[in-house]
Amino acid sequence: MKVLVVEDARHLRQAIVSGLRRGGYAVDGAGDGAEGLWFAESNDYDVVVLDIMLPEMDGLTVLRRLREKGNRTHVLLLTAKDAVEDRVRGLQAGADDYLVKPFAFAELLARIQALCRRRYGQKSPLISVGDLEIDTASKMVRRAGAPIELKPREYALLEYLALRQGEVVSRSEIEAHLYDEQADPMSNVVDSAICTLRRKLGTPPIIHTRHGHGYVLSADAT
Amino acid sequence: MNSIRRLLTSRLLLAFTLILGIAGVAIYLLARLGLYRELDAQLKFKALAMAALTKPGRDYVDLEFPERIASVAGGEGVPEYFQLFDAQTNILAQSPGLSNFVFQPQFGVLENPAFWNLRLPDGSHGRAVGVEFVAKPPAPKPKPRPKDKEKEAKPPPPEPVPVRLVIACSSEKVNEQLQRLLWILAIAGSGSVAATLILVPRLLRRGLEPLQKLGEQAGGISAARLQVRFPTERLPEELRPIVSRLNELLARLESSFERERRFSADLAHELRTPIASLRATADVALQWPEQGGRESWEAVHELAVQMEAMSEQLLAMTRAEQSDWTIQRQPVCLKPLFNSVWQQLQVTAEGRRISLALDMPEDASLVTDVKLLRAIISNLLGNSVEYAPAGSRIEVGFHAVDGGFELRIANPSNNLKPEDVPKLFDRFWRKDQARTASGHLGLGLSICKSFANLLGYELGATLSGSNILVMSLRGRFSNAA
Repeated sequence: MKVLVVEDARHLRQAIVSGLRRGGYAVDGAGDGAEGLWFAESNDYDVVVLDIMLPEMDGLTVLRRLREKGNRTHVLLLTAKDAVEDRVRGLQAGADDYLVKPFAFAELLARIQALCRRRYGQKSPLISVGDLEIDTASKMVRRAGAPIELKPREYALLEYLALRQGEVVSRSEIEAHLYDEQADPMSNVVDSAICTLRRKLGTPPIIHTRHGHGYVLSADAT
Repeated sequence: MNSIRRLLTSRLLLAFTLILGIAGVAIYLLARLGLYRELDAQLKFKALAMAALTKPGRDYVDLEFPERIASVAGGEGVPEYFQLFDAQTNILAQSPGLSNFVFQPQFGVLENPAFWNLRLPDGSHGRAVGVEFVAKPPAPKPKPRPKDKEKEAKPPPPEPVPVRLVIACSSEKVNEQLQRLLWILAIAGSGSVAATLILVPRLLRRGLEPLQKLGEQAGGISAARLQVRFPTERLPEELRPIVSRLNELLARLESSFERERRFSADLAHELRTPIASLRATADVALQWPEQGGRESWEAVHELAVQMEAMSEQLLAMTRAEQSDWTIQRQPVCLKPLFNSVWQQLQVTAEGRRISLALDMPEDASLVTDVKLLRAIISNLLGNSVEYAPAGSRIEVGFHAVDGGFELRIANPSNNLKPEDVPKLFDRFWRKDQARTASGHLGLGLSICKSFANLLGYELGATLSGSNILVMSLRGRFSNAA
C-alpha cells in the first residue's frame, strides 16, 4: 500500500513516514501543499494523509484540486483544527476521514488500513484465498492454519495481491503501490520480492505468473 | 442582615411618627389656645359688662351694684362667680356661692385684663379674669332748670371709686373638648403609624422591584453568559446610571474573557502539533523499538526545545501584560545596541544578502531598560531579516519628534497586504498560518508591543504604497529612575 503524508511540521512528518514504512507501507512525504499536490497528481496513492494548515497551499485547496481532477484517492485529513465546523468543512471538501492532533499512532495506522480496505471493496480485515488467510489488522498470515513470518514489505506485497485476488497485477502497479520514491525503479525488486514470497508461502503455489502481464494471486492453479 | 427595605421602613416609620407627634402636639396646642382665647373673650366681655354696671353709691363703701348682676349664676348650667374688691382688696360684693372663698386675685386694666386658671370652690377647674377700674357715677339726667332754692337743696353726686373685679367660670367644658381632641389625635396617630407599618414595606417592596429584578438578572450571569446585558428601558431614573455602568463592565468582561478564550484556544491549537509530533515519535519508537535510533531522540530534543521557547515567550508576554516586570532605566546608546543585535543576525542576513543601514547620530541614546529595548529591537530586526525579500535593505532611523523620539525600522515586504497590518500584533498571528521550519509562533510582535507599553512607548506598523513595512517605536525621552 502506498501512502502520501503531507505535513509541514518536520518532526511529525518524519515520525509518521517512519512509522508507516516500518508498518510495511510505501510512503512519500511532502512539506507543503504545492509539493503534496504534485506528489498526489504524479502517483497513484492508496491513501493521502493531509494536514490542513500548510504553507504554499492549504490542505483543503489541495483536496479540492484533487477532486476537481477526478482523483479518487482516499484522503485522511490530519489537523489541529478540532471544531465540528472544521471537520464538516473537511469532509464536505471530499475527505474520507478526519483525525485530530495529537493522536495515537496506532489509530492513524488503523484508519489508514481501513481506508486501504475500502479502496479495494474489502470490509473485513480478514482476507482468504484458498487455504491462505491474511489478517490485515494483526498483519498475520496463515496457510493451512500454519503461521508464516513475513517482512513488512513482503506482507504489503501479499496484502496488495490479496486485495486484488483473481486480478492480474502488473509489475508497474506493484511498484507504484508498494515502493516509494526511495526505491530504485530500475531494480528487479518486485521480481525478487515475488520470488521470496512464493518460497515462504510454500506449495501448492498460490502466486501465478502471467507472462507479459504480471502476477495473480489465486487458489485456482489455472 | 443589611436590607435597604428594612432600613427604609424603620427610618420612614421613625420619621413619620416624629412628624405625626409634632403635628399632633401643634394641633392640640393651637386648639387649646383657640378655646381658651374664646373663653377669655367671654370672661372679658362679662367683666366689661359688669364694670359698666358698677356704680358708686352715696357712701364710700356703699356701692350701688345692680341687683340683676348681684348673683351671676352662669348660663346653661355653667357655674360662674364674681368677687368685687375695693382698692385694699376688701370684698365689697361676691357671688352667693362663694361665702368664705377668696380668689387669689390678679388684676389688669379693662383693656388688658389678667387671666389665670384656678380651682373653683366646687373643686373643678376654672378660668378667671381680673380687672381694676374706677366705678363712676352715672351722668346726671337733663331736667328742666330748677329754681335756685331747689338747686341748693340737691346733694352732690357720689365720687368715683376704684374697684377691682374678679369673674371666674368653669373651664371643664373646654378641658373636655381638649381631652376629646387628645383622644382623637392619639387614635388617628396610632392608626396612621399602624397603616404606615403595613403599607410602607409593601410600597417599598413594589418600589424596589427593579432592584430585585436586577439582582435576579445578575444572578443568571456567569462566565459562560457574559453576552447578557441588563435592559435599561423602564428602569427608574436612579438605577439607569448604575445599570449602564454594569453593562459597560459586562462588555469589558466579555471582551476580556473572549480574548482569554481565544488565546487559550490558540495556545491549545499551537501546542497540538508539537505534542502530536512528540507522541507520534514516541509511539513509533515504542512500536518498533529495535528500529528506533538516535534520530528519534534528536526529534524529541528539538521538540522539547521548541516547546520550551514557546513557554518562555508566553511567560514573558504574561509578565509584561501583568506589569510584573522591574524596569531598570539607564542611559542606552542606540548605535552600539543595534550593532550588537545585528551581529547575532548577521549569518542569516548574509545568507539572504540583506543589509542594514543605520541613520542615527553617533550619540543617539535613550534612558530606558536595556533588556526590554534589546528584546524589541532584536525581534523587529529578526523579523525583517526573516521576511524581507532576499537582497533587500533594512533602514533604521532615529529622530526627535514632537518633544519625543521615533525609532523606525523599515524594510520591503512582498507578501504583506494592508489588511494584514492591524493583525500584526495579534497573538499567534502569522501571515502563513502553517508552522514553518523557522519555528515562528506568532508571539514576537505581541511581546514587543507589551514590552513597549511597559516602557511607556508606543509600537506601531504601517505599510506604504510601495510595500515598505515600517515598524515605529515612539515615546518620550525620560530620565533614569
